[in-house]
Amino acid sequence: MNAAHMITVANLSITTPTGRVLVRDANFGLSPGEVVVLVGPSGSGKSSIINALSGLLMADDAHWTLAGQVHLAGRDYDLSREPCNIGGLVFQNNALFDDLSAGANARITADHTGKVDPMLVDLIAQLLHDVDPNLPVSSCSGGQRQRIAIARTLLANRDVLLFDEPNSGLDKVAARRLVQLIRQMCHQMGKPALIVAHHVDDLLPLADRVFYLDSTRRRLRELPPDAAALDAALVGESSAAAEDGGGEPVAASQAWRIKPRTRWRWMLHYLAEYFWILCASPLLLGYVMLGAGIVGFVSVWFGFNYDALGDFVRSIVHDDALMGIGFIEMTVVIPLIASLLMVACNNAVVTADLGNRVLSSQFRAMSNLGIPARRYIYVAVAVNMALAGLLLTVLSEVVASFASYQTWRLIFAGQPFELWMENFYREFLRNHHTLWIHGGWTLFKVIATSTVATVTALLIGARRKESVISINHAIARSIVIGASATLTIHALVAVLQF
Amino acid sequence: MSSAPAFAAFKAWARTKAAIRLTSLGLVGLAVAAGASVWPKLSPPEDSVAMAPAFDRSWSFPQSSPAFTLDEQLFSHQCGRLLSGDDGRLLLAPYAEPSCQAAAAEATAVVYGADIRLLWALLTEAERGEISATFRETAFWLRHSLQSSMTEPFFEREYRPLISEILRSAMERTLQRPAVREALQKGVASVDPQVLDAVIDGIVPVAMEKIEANLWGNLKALAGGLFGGSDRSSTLGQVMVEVAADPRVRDHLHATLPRLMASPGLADAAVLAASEFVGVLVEDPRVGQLVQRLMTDRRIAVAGGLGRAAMPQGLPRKLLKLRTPADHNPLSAYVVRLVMHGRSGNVVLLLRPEQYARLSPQAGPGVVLSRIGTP
Repeated sequence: MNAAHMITVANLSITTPTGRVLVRDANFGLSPGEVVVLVGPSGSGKSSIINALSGLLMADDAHWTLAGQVHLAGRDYDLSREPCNIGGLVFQNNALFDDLSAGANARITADHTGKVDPMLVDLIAQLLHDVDPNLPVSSCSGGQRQRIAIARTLLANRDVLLFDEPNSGLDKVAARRLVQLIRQMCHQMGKPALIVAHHVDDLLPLADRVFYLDSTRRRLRELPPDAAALDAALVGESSAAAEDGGGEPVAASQAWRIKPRTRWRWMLHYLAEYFWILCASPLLLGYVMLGAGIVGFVSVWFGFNYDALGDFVRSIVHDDALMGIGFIEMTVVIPLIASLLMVACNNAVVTADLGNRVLSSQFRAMSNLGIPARRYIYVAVAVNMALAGLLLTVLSEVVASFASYQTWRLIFAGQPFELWMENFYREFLRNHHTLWIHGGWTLFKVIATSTVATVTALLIGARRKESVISINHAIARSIVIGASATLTIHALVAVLQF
Repeated sequence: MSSAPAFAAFKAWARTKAAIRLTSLGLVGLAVAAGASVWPKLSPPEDSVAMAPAFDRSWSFPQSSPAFTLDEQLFSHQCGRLLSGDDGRLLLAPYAEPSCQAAAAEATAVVYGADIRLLWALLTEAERGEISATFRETAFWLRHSLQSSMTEPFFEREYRPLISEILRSAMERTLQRPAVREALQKGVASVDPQVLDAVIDGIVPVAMEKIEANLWGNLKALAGGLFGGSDRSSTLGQVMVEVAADPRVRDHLHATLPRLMASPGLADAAVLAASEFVGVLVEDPRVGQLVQRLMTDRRIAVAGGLGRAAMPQGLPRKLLKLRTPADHNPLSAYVVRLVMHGRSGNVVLLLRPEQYARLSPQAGPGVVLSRIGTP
């Protein structure tokens, strides 16, 4: 360590929640603009070091034990007591927010960073010159996604850039070009970069220093970077090659000029996004309407066609039977069916969405970038689940009424609409008090159901996910618990209601 | 094929956010349009017609009474409501159908009490004939079933003792009624002694036989009579029932009764006694229970073939004036419901003059309403 170091890390020790020591008394420093590669065997704890410097290790639900000090620009962090989030981390799988466009991925970071340096904006415009900001990230190539992730991390404007296996999955040429890019940016911004890598052949030529994490001694030591001449030749060859099949430069690279948005705008953005998913997706609307239509048909058709007393009784009981069907449909059956179908669909959607965000480290990335993702998403989900419950119940009532009327017309052809209307809505038309009382109960059932279902989906979805299978299991669990809670709440409230 | 690229373009467009949102809005629009067509609508006030009773202003009107038109076969069609305001004003609010609007504007509005007489009036002569025939057929099958069942062991065991007891006590109470006793005494006094002797000669040996058979009961009855007990009447009643049921007495009465009944005083007494006997039976709560049991006992129906009777299928449908098994006659249903609930109510019929003339003989004149303008 020397005085030129911008950041110094002293006596860093990391112990896993299970008590296994990964790193013991590591000491190193990083100077402005230098690129340092951190190597070591798989599972040795390389990623844990950069997670510790990006503040993610302490933020994990699991209890890691950290010790050591970090010194940066006159400030000291005691890692045993406080999180240190001096590093902006580029995740191994990029952890892009796949619900946002390429541009929105960068914009949301900028909006949560504060004032963005114009020089940084220029740098990002160069970095993403061939990426259309309006493209969904799923439409970008692997290289483009990686550069978006880097740009996003740059915008977070942290003191050190941290990269977790950035060359994973890249060929040698692309990997070297990436390191060249990192090096260029570090020089321009005067910030150091710490790159964790498993395959280092492509990185060594451009690295200023190399640290090796000894997995047996748990010590960090510095090694000289070798084979520089060979790699310099390869870099010279690769620099001419177009990256990712040579994407066309986007004419309007001005598009990457970041326009600031307030946090409220982001809140509204998430509210709107989840509105279209949880309240108004065509699939959800179609299936809830179908369910309501079937209930409307079944209750009238079987209510009148399968009475045990015979055909002539149907005429005698017609008015009262229709009143009973209408009243029960509107106050009990339709709110239940609408809630049940909504919860089954939306709990699956929310749990899958959160599970994917957890598995692909999107929450961790957002946390690292200073974005209150959970607040945005949880509030948007909760508000839209309640709204979905109400809107879909009203829509279902409307559709069920229509289906009931059409079915009644089939059975009692030639009878006037008003005869159906007077009896189907009789309880509500006769006494407006009934409308308000049962409307209130229905509102209570729907909101209670939506709330419980939301909590279920959020808790299950946001839990740690190890694999896609764990997401699938979480979805099933969320549906079953949400649907069971819905049935229980509606049954209990119906008992109180009547 | 030129349609392939167009289809591919459409598929690509269908996956865009704009297309998805348009689809959602379309579905919501569809639901709202469907819902708007069935949402509760109150008839506009300008369609209502203010009414007042033409003659009988003492008639009391409930808050709301259904109004009906009738077709050529006097089948009803609900067409609106007659609303009675707190201030006593009557408003006829017709349904939106043009035929209902026209009827509200032009037809004669007549208020009738909602009772079975009105339903009977709405039946055609042919329908009434059919219903009478059905009643006769049903009565025949009931009688036949009962007669067939009487020889069955279950009837002997379960019904006979109860029926005997009901008849015996009814006969006793009939004979105890002062009017019957007086009429019988007068009637007996007016009978030719020779005829009376002939009747008594045929009955006394059988009666003595029955008394001897019930000696212990008769002694108890005698003791009860002496000491003010109440067993006497029941024992005597039992003897009377047995005497009356004896075939020898029945044959003897068959031969002598015409001569006996030729006496006017006795005939009057018999008519009075029969009438009182029926009255006593009706007052006995056991009779209603017995009839209900008999009617619902499947063994009786099976024994007599009552299941083949037309009543269960045909009679209610005819009375309700249903054209098909699954038909709905709102007027009949409304009246029957009120009768079943024991409530009173009115119906308003919007009638053409010839319909009114056809209904009046059976249903009465009702209360004719006259239009006094729009509200």
